[in-house]
Amino acid sequence: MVKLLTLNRSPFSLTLRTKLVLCTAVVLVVACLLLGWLFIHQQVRSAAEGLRQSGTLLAQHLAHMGRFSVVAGDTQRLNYLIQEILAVDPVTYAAIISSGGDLQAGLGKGTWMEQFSVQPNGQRRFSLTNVTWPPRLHTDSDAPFISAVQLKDDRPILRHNIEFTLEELLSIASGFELPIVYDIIVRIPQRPFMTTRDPALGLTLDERVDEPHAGGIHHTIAPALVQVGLSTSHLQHVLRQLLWQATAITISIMAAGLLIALLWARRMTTPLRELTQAATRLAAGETVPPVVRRTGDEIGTLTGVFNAMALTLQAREHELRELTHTLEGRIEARTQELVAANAKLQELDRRKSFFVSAASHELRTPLTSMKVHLANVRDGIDGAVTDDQRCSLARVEANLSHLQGLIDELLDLSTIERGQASLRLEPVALGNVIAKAVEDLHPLASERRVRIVISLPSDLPAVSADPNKLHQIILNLLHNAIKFSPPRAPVDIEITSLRNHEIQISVRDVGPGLAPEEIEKVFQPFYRAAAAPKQAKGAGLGLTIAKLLVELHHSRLQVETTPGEGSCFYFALQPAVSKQELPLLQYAPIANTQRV
Amino acid sequence: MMRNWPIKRGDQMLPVFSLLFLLWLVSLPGVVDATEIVILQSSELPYYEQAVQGFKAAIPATTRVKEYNLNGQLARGREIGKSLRASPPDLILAVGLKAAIAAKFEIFDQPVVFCLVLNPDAHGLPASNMTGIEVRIPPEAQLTALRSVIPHRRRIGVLYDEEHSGTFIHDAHRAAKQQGLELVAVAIRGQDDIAQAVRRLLPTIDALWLIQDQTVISESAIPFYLDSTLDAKVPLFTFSSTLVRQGALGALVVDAWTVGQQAARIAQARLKEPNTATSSMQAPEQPQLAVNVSSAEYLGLPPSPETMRLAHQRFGGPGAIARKPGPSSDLIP
Repeated sequence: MVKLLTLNRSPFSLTLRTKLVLCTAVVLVVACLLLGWLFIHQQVRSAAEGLRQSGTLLAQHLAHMGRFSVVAGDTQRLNYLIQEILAVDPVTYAAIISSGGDLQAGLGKGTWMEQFSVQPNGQRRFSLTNVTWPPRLHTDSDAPFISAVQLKDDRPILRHNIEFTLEELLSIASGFELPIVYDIIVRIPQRPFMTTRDPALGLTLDERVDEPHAGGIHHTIAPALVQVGLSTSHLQHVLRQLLWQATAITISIMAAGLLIALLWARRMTTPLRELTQAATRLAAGETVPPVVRRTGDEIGTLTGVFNAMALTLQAREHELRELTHTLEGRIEARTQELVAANAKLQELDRRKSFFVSAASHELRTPLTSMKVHLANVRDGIDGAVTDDQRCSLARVEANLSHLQGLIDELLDLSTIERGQASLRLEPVALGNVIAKAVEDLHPLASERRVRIVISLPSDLPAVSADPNKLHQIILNLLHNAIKFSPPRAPVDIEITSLRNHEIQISVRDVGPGLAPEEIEKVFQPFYRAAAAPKQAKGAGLGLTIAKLLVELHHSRLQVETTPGEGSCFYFALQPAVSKQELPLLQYAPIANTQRV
Repeated sequence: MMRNWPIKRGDQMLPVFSLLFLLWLVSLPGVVDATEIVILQSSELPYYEQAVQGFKAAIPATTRVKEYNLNGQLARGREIGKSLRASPPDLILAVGLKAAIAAKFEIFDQPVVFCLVLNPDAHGLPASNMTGIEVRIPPEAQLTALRSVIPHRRRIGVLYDEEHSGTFIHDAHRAAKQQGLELVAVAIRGQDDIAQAVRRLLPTIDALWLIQDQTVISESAIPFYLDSTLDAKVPLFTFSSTLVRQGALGALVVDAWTVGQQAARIAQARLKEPNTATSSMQAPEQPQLAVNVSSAEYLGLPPSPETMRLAHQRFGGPGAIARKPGPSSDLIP
């Protein structure tokens, strides 16, 4: 049983502990990776947003400081202000661009200084202007326009995404520094004047004949823009540290979580394993000590239930074993009693057969003598006999004949049952045997006005049978059919060839038939069917002898009957072979053989 | 059941008397004053509304007033004018440039009083049947006010466009001379000249005087004036209380309500003597002095008690004057 339990597991199945650890590990890994990524993503966004806000403040500061200098075209002051802005560490360049995109003032650090060039017409030009111009500034707000620019081969390229991509974050984590700059453009502010209650200023600013709607609030168009570049170098350094810290924390959490999951799974599965071992031993029939209950949870409850179940099972097994032991003794005593009874019955049967045989023999001799003397008296050899006397003698002779027939049948039955009947098989022409039997029964058939109809195929082969015994079989079956047929009814005897080349002989009558429960009893000695007519005479041995003789030919006599419509008795015989090959069979009744 | 009450003679006559009394009351204003004035207002700007309110407050309560608003559309004003020709009122008040031009084009016989028009000369105003009130305060009054605020400053710089303000500057020169001031007038042709002109002018003057010249005054130039003068610590005297609020030292400003009342007085005079052919312009009455105390303190020119008493509007808020010495404080607007 233990082996069976072990073998039932698939080679790909996992233990509960492994499943628990694996599930927990998967959940931990997914959760840690997800949380770690969200944390990093949020930190990256916050840091970048902070940097961009700082840059926006610097740009707005420069715009505010230089707004009048822009109007006045004071490039010297603008450069001074830009140098102040460039003193802030992450600022890589700062420029003031006119509304037409022309550079009014601008300076840069390192590589970005090279992006400022002097045109042939003497005007300075900022190469980044070609990339970011025109900025998508909202006309009604001071919101900055922020974009990300990357230097490739010393040429600024506008990035589509302002945030770092995953690949870039991985590059940053592995130590690379990306030349990415946040480009921030703000409008130089010009405050609108509320002139709704100042007619002098309002009329000065607004009074035009061709101005359909003079308004009180004056929105100004930015004459210039401030463009500030912020290096992400420090941001990338911070992000690199953050990425490594987050990675280390994530791995630590995962390792700790896995360890806890392992311990937890072990704590959970240990009592289950003990229960499994105990159950396996219990299934193998061993006596199992109670399993130690370690916890108070469901597993502890299961352990308690299992212990109670094991105790109950062991008690019942003990009771069953004692009961089995008692039963075996009783069965053995009963068997011995039955064997003795059987032997006694067999002895009684043997004695009965011997008695019947002996009695038949002893009765046959005086009966023959009586028939001879009776025939002499009837024939007048011993003197004249009157007609009345001859009539009485005839009835006596008929009764003697009947008695002799009964004794002959008993003797035949006894001979067969004792195994003393011999069978001489030889090719037998069925037509002859049937004709002889019909001829023998002609007086009876005539007396009962029954027609015997014989159906024989033209190419009927000879069968292998003992001619005398086959004659007796057919005679008994026909006699039985005539006896139970009503007057002027036909009795059919039909010979057919079966597919297996056997020859089937069937005798059919239209008598009362048999009830289903009578089919087996009809072959028992001295049995009379319940529907048999009262005038039917006989000891009830004909079918028994016919059955035994058919079985002597290694066949089986069978009957098909329908109550009220008639019966059909049939059996099959082997077709004949050469005579030299036919053995001398000794009778061995099938019933006796089966019984032995 | 019918009941015959005794009928008195007085009870029968009471409804008749009451009806007659009511008819007398209704017809009384028409008997007293049938004057009708139509007000044409260029748009719904608050100072136009203030002028109209001032006008209506100054005319007799019995005068019938009809108001029309052009909503900034001169064509609408001309349509209204044509309709007024069919049933002319006694007088028309035109508030704003478009209302005045519409009246000029469509009203020929009825007296018209207009106000709050900056440059009437440039638009052919006034016509023969029209009388108006200047928006510009005469240079004498402005220089007088300037001198009261900064009594010890003599060299007064001013920018102007010859096309818009040539006559005004000519009068200003004369007035300055009369008051012992030296007017340094710099003519400009466009707004691009402003920065250079101011940079050259500021070191040479004691105060800068901004006049209502549409070339000199623009939205982008105003912050520059404010910033530059504060940077150079040169007082700025203007015509606008808004600029004073933003950091200019002082201004002599017109009040729309007062202008409306002045227009009402002119209108009443024309109605009393309709045959008087006066097509002259009148200077705005009772201009108000505005002073920014914080700017004055920043410039080291604390206003005198007399000036403070005369000032109708005093400012000390955190406008551009909030600038303090040092570059970092420039962040504060």
